[in-house]
Amino acid sequence: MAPARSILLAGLLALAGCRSFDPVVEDPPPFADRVQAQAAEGVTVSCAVPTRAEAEALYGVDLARFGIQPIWLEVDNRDADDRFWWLLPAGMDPHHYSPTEAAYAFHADASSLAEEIEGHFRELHFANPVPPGSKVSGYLLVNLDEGYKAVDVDLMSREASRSFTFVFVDPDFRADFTRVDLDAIWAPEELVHLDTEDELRAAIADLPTCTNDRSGESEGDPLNLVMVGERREVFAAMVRRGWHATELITRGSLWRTVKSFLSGSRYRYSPISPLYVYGRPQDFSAQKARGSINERNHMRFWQTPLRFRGREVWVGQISRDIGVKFTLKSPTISTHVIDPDVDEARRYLLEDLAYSQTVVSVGFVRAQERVTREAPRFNLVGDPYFTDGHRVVMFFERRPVALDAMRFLPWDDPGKVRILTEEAAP
Amino acid sequence: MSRRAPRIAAVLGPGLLAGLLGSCASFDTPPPADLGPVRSRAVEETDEGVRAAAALLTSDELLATFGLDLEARGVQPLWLEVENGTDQPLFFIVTGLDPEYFAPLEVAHLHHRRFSGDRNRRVDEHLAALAFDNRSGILPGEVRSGFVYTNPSIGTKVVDLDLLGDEWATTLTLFVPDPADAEAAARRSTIEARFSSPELVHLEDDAELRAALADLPCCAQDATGEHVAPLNLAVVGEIDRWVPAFQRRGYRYTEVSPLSAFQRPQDAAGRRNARWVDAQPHVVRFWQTPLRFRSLPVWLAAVETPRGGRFAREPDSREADADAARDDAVVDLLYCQNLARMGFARGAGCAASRARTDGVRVALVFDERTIPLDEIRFFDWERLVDIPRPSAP
Repeated sequence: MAPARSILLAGLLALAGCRSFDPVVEDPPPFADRVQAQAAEGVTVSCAVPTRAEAEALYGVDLARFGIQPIWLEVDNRDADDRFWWLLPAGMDPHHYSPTEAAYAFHADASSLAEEIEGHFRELHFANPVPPGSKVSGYLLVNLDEGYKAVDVDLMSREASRSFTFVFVDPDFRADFTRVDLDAIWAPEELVHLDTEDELRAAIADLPTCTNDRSGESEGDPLNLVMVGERREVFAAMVRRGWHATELITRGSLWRTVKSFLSGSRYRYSPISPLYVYGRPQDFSAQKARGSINERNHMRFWQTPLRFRGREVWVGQISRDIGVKFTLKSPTISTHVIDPDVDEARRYLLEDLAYSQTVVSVGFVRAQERVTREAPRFNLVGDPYFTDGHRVVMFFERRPVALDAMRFLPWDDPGKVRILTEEAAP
Repeated sequence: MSRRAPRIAAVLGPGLLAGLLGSCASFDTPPPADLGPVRSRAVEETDEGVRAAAALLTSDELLATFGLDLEARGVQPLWLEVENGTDQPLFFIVTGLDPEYFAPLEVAHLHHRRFSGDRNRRVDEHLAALAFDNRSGILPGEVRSGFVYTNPSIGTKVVDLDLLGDEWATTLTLFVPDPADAEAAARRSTIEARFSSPELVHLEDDAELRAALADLPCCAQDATGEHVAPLNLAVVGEIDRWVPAFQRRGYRYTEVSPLSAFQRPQDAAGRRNARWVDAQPHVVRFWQTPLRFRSLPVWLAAVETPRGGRFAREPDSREADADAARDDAVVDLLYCQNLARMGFARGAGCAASRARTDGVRVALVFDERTIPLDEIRFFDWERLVDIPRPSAP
């Protein structure tokens, strides 16, 4: 099918003076080949995320300038119960933008076009409800995430709900995980397939203990995280809790990091220096900015050759940044002072992801000897750390998993290990 | 002047010197503080075998306990005690209380000094020792207490405590007063005791409530008496049920300009906050009514946004399309986890008002139970699909 191009609101150029507003609505949309669809009990949801350039053409203005991103959705209601379904924008982003509000951002640029812009935004917007037997499509305006975008779609009817989760990778963002082909890290013959929880537990205890430097000779931070699940659920859980993708270290991203270091501001996608496991740098990393770059939590993950009931098993490392110092050991010149209590950061992540509604069970596996507070070890940039020697194992499933449905596996108990030598175990 | 100068220098000099070299860099671990007064004013809740108590400290108590000025660094320690009366170990989820809480050694790091290894180690040990120990589960029968290092709140701190067991969870909500704000408790009891029992109107069935809601005032008025904000929400429930619900969705107590309904300014108001992005700029004002639905107080509220929302150039202007803010706020509140029932009644807005509205007043009934999205029940009143929307501008 040849794309039928219709140019809306052409001729406004004359009215606009030095500004112009000519959005281009294409049918089919330019992202047609990236549309994902999921169905549940008679309701089919299709979803796509336009790139920044596509969104700018469609809306006629650069939404990303104000941190706004459109999501395209289509709901096809073939529900046997003849119900109206309502799409809940707050489930996708509690702080989404109404078309009126988003249009207002451009009033100052083009006040003579204010009404046209608002009218166009309203026309593109997804309009509830979805009546029985019909199909409704349109856009919702949410806060911009670069790199990857997780889209939670909740539909509600009287005493009924349906939940869907989509994950999209931005084809234009140079995220660190685009450097590797996550589907081909291990050759099929290298994979280790595990079926029972006991086998998994033993295999997790045998995973590498710590990160290394490039040569593999020096040991760094302990690998204290394990995640088991579909990539889609794991990524979505992190995005839902405010973890962001990481930009590859490039001249541009370095400059943005240095600027945020100097100004104390947030740069949500700052590069994270490489550490090594299996002789390769992290497959992906994620970070959550807090007050400033000095206060940031970041983590790195590597795909292991383990497959538990067909699902990928990732091993990772998390630390809580509590300050910053200069170093020549990192290409970003600065490095973070980490909270030496690395178990605290591990517990923080578990708690944080428990609220993502996707963690179905949790266990702890002892992976190394305890390191006490009086005799700490040091990571590759010389920061001390101590630990009870456990790694947390989180199993991810489809949303929503309620907090009171989370299972604790009867594995090891980190609470029995004390980090002060004089402390007695409870 | 000149004669006194040397004396001042003589007095200030050693002090200054001591200040520069010593006192600001020194840290002596304070003796264990008497937490008796803190304990005795702690607020307490018990549910499903779990007892929790919490209190905030005055500035003096904080200095005496920590030996450091934590407040100056933007940290508000919350004293917390949990007693586990269940038969399994329980984990307390700190991120539920404050997603950006501070780790003990992080707070310590904020108070570190250069070249003071010994001193810094003492600071570390002291702050770690006072922290609520969360390294292991709280065992059956155990009572555990300590401080959680939170971000400061204004006024009463609403504390959601999530405790997790194996396939089991409970939430306790505590309203912890700020001892520095003695008037807060008085304000609250004034609001709660606004109506005496002869004034109360008791309603039992759904139709009565629908009719009573339709008869309440349509709009809140500004100082000139103009009808400016449709009263588009009716909140049903005890304060302790609906305040946490709004709080979970990011609303925080704020001072906002007074609007008038029932011939008085709002009883309470809130504005949305967000952690990682700019918050939706919803402002909501509440008035208690004399209505009681199945003995629960009924509150009337107006939710609105400034014209232009987050891009507003005049924050005091009002969005003419009043329904958008109401719809966004209501959909968002569906996620508060304790909304039991909702319904669409009439009565909001009027022809005299500048705000365009479809006239719908959304009733929200809050419960103490955790209620998932698909268990929220509906009043059999209006159906949204039947209500014509005012035309877009």
